[in-house]
Amino acid sequence: MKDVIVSIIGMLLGILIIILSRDLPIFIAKGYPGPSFFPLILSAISILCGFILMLKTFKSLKKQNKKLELVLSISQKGILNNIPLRNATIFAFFMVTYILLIPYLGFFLVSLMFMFITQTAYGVSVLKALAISSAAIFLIYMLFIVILKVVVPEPILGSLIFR
Amino acid sequence: MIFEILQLVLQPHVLFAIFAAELFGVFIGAMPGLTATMATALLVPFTYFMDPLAGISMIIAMAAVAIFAGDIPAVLLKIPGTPASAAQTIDAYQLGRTKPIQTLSTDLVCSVIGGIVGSLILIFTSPLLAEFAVNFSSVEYFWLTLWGLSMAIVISSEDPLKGVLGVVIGFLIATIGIEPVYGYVRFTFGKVELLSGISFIPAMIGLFAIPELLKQISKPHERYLINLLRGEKTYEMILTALKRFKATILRSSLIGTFIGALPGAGADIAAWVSYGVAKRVSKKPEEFGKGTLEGVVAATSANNAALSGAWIPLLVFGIPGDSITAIALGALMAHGLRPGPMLFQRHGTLITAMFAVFILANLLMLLIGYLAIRLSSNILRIPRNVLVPLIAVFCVIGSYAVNNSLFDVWCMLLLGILGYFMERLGIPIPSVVLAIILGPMVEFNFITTLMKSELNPIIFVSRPVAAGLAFLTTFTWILPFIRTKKLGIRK
Repeated sequence: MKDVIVSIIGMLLGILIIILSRDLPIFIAKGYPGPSFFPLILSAISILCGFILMLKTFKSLKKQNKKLELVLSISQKGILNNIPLRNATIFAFFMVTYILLIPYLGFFLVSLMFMFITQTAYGVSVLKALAISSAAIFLIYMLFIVILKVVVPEPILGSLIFR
Repeated sequence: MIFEILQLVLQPHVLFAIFAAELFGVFIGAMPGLTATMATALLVPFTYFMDPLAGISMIIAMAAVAIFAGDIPAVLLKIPGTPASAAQTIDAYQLGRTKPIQTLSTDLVCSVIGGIVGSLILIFTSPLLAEFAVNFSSVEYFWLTLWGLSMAIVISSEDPLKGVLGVVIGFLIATIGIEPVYGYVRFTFGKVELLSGISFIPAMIGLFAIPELLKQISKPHERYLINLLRGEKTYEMILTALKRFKATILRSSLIGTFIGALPGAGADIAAWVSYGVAKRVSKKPEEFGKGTLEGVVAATSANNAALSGAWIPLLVFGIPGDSITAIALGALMAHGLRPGPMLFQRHGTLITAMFAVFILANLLMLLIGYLAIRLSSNILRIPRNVLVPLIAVFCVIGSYAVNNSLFDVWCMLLLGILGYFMERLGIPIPSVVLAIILGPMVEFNFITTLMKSELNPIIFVSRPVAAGLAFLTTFTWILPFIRTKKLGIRK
């Protein structure tokens, strides 16, 4: 199943490169390759790899007579039943929200909230999570602001909110 | 000259950087699942704010200690802390059940010896190779980069086709921004932030750290039970090992350095090959896999030697030997240092100081490693659900700090999620990263060579060194097929 997905990605990627390169010249002058020359070679390699991988996968499936199992495996394993993928998706969602909120609430406040919420969501006790998150924020402040002099994102809402 | 180098290396801030990086390396290396590569990616934003020597010293020191620290959970829990510790895990664990401190201490000393042998080979061979490489033209560089990529694909991917796709994805990411030959703007979608391309450091953090974090958070939380560490007769065991296995240590260090110097092959492959060779030449091969010190000594001296070996192609040709040096290349370029033969001429003092750091970092590893062994049970008790959110915050601030741009943070996350799915689909991340780094170099050399010859492909094999490298690249691709055919005939 994985190989089929990869082969489709390979072919789609190749087509995408061709579409994106259509406004760029392939040659600048006779004998002088242009800016889309290299990307078009990449697209050809990508499509070829995808095609060979697809052929290889179907050949091995045919050999093992596994067509039916492949269909069953798709219907049985939904994304929601896949616990590692679900956990990873939740964590990725937390990270997206975290980065989205940084310009509004400032780096330190959002980081504190992010660490506290993710730790408690993944089983750390409230008090322990609060203590660890606060200590970590202090450490990051000392390291990045005091020692390395990094300018962290300030909140849009102004200096009323702790940065 | 020596006084000048010592003055540079023994500056308090450089020593502090090495010390701090080694502590960080111990911590990450000893945590099962967190790799030395991820630690390097997290460390690079810090190096950005330091002078080049202190910054590069941090990477050198951290990687050396992290690879050793990967052996700690291998000995105590039968879980390799980093992939480089996988080869000796079973033997190390069997030995560690009765003599944990002694096994780890012997492991530490052999790691230091391996690291020093590798560093000495780096010190003596790279200036000679650099002199030879001065005459390289765009054709030789094109083949050299292509050979490096081919090695990475053939060695590190379960399926070479997926490795090639990984390289295409990496190249595609590298083509974003201003094109290197004519200055055309490509694939920016009107975004000003993309004009200079995807920032290298956020891309590294995203591709190496985020997939690891997503994987770690997906696993159920485990509490490790570690036996009380006892350390009687530690020095006796170390001395006996050094006496009995001196040939194994030296041979493995040489193998490790050589494999490390091959583009694409890293410390993990070096450890497996050395372990295999040690088993083949051992008087008691039947003891391998059942708790033999010879196996542990062979693998551990090789993986640390490989780290130094990987710097040879990086410094001489600008082609990283493994994932760690791939990130180090980004750090060097961030400081305006372009690796290649000219680096030795333009920044000779800095390079010599870096060589001194290799030796110093390995020696300091004795002290830090000893502390790590004593504190290992505490390090291993830190739960994953506490650590992962903390590292995620470091990823965000690290990506932001390079250009003070939230756009970079989004790139980091996007590439991280992309990396997670690529790993799940079997597309090797190191190939993607290597292609991002080498992409502009490959394109520039490829296009300028074609321009020189007005599209005549003969130019690619017209010079002897270029023809040799072309043969090596072709051979790298053919070798797996020959091996498969041979195995088929034997069966």
